[in-house]
Amino acid sequence: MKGKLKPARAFLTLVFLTLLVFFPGRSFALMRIKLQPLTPVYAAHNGGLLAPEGVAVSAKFHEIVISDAGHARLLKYTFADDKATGCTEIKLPQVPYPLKVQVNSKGEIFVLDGRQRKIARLAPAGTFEGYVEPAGMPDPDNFVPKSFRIGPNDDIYVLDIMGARVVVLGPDGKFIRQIPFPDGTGFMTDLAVDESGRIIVSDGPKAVLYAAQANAASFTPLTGSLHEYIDFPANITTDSNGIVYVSDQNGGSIILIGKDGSFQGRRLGLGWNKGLLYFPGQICLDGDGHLLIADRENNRIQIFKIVE
Amino acid sequence: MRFFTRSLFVPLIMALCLAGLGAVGLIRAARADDASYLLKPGARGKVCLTCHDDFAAKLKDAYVHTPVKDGDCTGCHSPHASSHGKLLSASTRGICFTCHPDIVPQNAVSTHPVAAEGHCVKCHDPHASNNPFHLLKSGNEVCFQCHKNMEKRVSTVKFKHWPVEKGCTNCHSPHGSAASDYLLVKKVPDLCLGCHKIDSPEIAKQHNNYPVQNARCTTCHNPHGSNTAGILYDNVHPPMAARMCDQCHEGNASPTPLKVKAQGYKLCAKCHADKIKDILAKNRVHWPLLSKKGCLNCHSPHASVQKDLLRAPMIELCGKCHSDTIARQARSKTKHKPIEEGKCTACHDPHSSNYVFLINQPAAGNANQPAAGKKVLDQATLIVDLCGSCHNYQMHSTHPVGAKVVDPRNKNLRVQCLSCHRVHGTDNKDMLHFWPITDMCTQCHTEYKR
Repeated sequence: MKGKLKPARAFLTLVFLTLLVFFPGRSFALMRIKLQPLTPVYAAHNGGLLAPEGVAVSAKFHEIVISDAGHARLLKYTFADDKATGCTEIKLPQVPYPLKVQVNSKGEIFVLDGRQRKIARLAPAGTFEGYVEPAGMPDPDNFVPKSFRIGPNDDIYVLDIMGARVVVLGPDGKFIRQIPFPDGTGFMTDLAVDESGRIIVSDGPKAVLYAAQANAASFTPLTGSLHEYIDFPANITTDSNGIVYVSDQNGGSIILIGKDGSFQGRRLGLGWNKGLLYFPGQICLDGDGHLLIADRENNRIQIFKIVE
Repeated sequence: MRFFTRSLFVPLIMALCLAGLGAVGLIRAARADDASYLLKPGARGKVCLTCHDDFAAKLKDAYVHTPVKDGDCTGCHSPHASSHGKLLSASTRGICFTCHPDIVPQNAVSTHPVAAEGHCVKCHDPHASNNPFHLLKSGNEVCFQCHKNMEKRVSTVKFKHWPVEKGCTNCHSPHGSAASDYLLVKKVPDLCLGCHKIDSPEIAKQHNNYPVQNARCTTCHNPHGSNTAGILYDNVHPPMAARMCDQCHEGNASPTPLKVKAQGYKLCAKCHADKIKDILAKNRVHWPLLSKKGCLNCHSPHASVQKDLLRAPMIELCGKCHSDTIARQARSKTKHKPIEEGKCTACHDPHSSNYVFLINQPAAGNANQPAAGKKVLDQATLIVDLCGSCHNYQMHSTHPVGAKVVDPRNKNLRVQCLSCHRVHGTDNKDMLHFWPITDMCTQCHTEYKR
C-alpha cells in the first residue's frame, strides 16, 4: 500500500510544481482574494447616510472620511479593530456637494465638490483651508476635475476631463506635469495611483483601463475591453502589489485586474443586504487588508476584510 | 503596334485554348462521374424540369443565373435529401459564396448584414429575373423593401439629391465596402467631391469662403434629400442658417479659420448663457457636458435630422455610453415604455439634476428644478412621485411605499418602486429583481421564506 502511495505523491508534487512554474504566485494570491463583510457604516448624526459618494481611509491616522453627498457633509470616523466608531460631522458652505474624498500623509482632507467642481483642502480637524488652485498649469481655463487621488508623496493627481488629461500637482498645488488621455477613448471615469507612481485611468463606456508608468508621457492600454466582465467601470483603486480593484457601478460588484492587465475575478454582487452593492461609488484600500466601498444607493459604507 | 498586337494575340489564343481544353476535361470528368453514378442524361438539371414544369417560364426571364442556364440544378440543390430548406446542398451563404467568394470584401470597413450573413435571396432571385444582377426588384425598389423609411423620405422631401433618385448604388456598395462606413463606395468628402466642384465660386460663397474641402459634408447636408434648401438636415442651428459661421469659428481670413473660439460648453455659453448657468448650478452635472467636447458630445453644432440638434435618436445617443443599460432593456421580458419609445428624458435630465441618476423632479415647473417653494425631495418620495406621474397605482392600492416605510433589508433605505423593480429591465417579468414572485417578496418578508 505504501509503495502505491509513493508514485501518487510524486505525481501530485509534479503537478504542483508545474502549476507553480506556469502560474506566478501572485495569480494564486489573486484567485484566493475573498472579501469578508464587516459591520457597515449606516448611522451618523442627524439621520443615516444619504447617497454617500466617497470614502477615504488613513491607516496612519486610523480614520475613515466619508462624503455624505445627500446631506452635503463629510463624516469622520475612527477605524480600529475592524470597526468604525465615533463620528465627527464636517459641514462646510465651501463644499455644498462633496463627492470624492482623500486624506494625505499629514491627515489633511481633500474633497471634490460636485457643484463647484473644485477640490477643497481641509485641515485634519475639518476646517476649510482653501481650494486646490493649480499653479503654473498650462491651459488653466480648461480644467474640470472629475476625480483625483493623493499619490505616494502627497502629490495630487487630477483627472481633468475638460483638458482631457491627468494633471500631477505637488502637495502645494504647483503644477508638475500632465499626461494626455489616449486617443479614441470613450469617457474617463476615474483614476488610481499605485505606490510606484503608476497612474491608471478607467474608460467607463468602453470598459478599458489605461496605465502610465511613473514619469511616462502617455497612457497605454492596460486591458482590452472588459465588457465581458463588467457593465460600467466607475471607480478604481490599487493595492501595494499593483492589483487594480474596479467597481462595476451598474453591475454592483468589484472586479480584480492583475498588474499585467489580466482579469482575475469578480467579487460581490448586486443587492441590498449586507455584503452586496447597489450602484457603488468611490472605493479605497487602507493598505492594512481592508476594502471600503461607498455603497451609494444602499446609503452606507461597506467595509470588507480582504482574506486570502 | 502590329508587333505588339501579335505578341498579345498569340498568348491570348493559347490561353483560351488551354481554358477550353480544361473545360472539356472537366465536363468529360463530370460525365465520367455521371456514368459511374449511372445517371440518366440531363439528370443534373434537365430531368428536374419534367416535374418542375412551371420552371420553363422562369427560364425565359432576361437574366438567368449561369448554373440554371447550364441546366446544373445539382450545383445548388441536393436531389435526394438535405438538411437545408429547398433541398439546398448547403446554407445559402455556403452555396453563394462558393462561386462569389469576394462579394463581401475581405477587408470590409462596413458590410451589409443581409449579404454578410448570406441572405442573398432577400435581394436576388437565384434562378432568373428580369432585372440585372437577378435582383428581385428593379433599382431602388429592392433597397426599399427593407429601408421603408428611406423610401418615404426620398419620395417626400422637397429638395432631392438626384443620385439617390437614380440609384442607391451611386453612393453605396450593396454588399460591403472596403473604403468607408455606411457601405459608401468612397469616403466622404471624396465621394461628394466626385460630383461637386468644391472650388467653384458658387460653393465657396455658400460656405462663406471657409475651407471646407476636407470637412465631412454629411455633418450638415443630408445626402438623401431634405426639406431645407441646400439639402441641409431639417433642423439647422440658427447661426448656421444665418451663415454666421464666425459666431463660433474664427474668421475666414484667420490662419486657422475652422478653429472654434472656445472649448467645450464655454463655446455654447456665449449664446446659451442662462441655460448653461442653470445646468451648472445643480449638484450633479452630466459629466460629459464638462468634457473637452462638451455639448457636442450629444448635439450637432450645425444641423441634424433630430430635434434639438441631437446627433442621433435619443436611445442610440444615450446608448453610446450607457450601452449596458440599453441592452438590459432590450433583453428584458417586460419593456419600460419610455425607454422603448426612446424617451430617456421622461425620467432623466440629460444636463444636470440635484438627484442621483440625474432624475427629473416630477411636477415641477422646470422638470428637475424644484418649483418655487418646493423643497428637494428625499429619495423615496422622488422615485414614488416620478413613477406615479405615469403609473397611478397609488390612487387605488399599493404596497406601502414612501419616506416612512423602512426597507427591512437595509435600515438606511425606504421602500419605493425601485426596491422591487429595475426600471431599465431585468430578465424577469414586470422588471422585477427576483423571480418567481415569492423570491421577490421573501427578500423582505423573510418569515415566509421556505
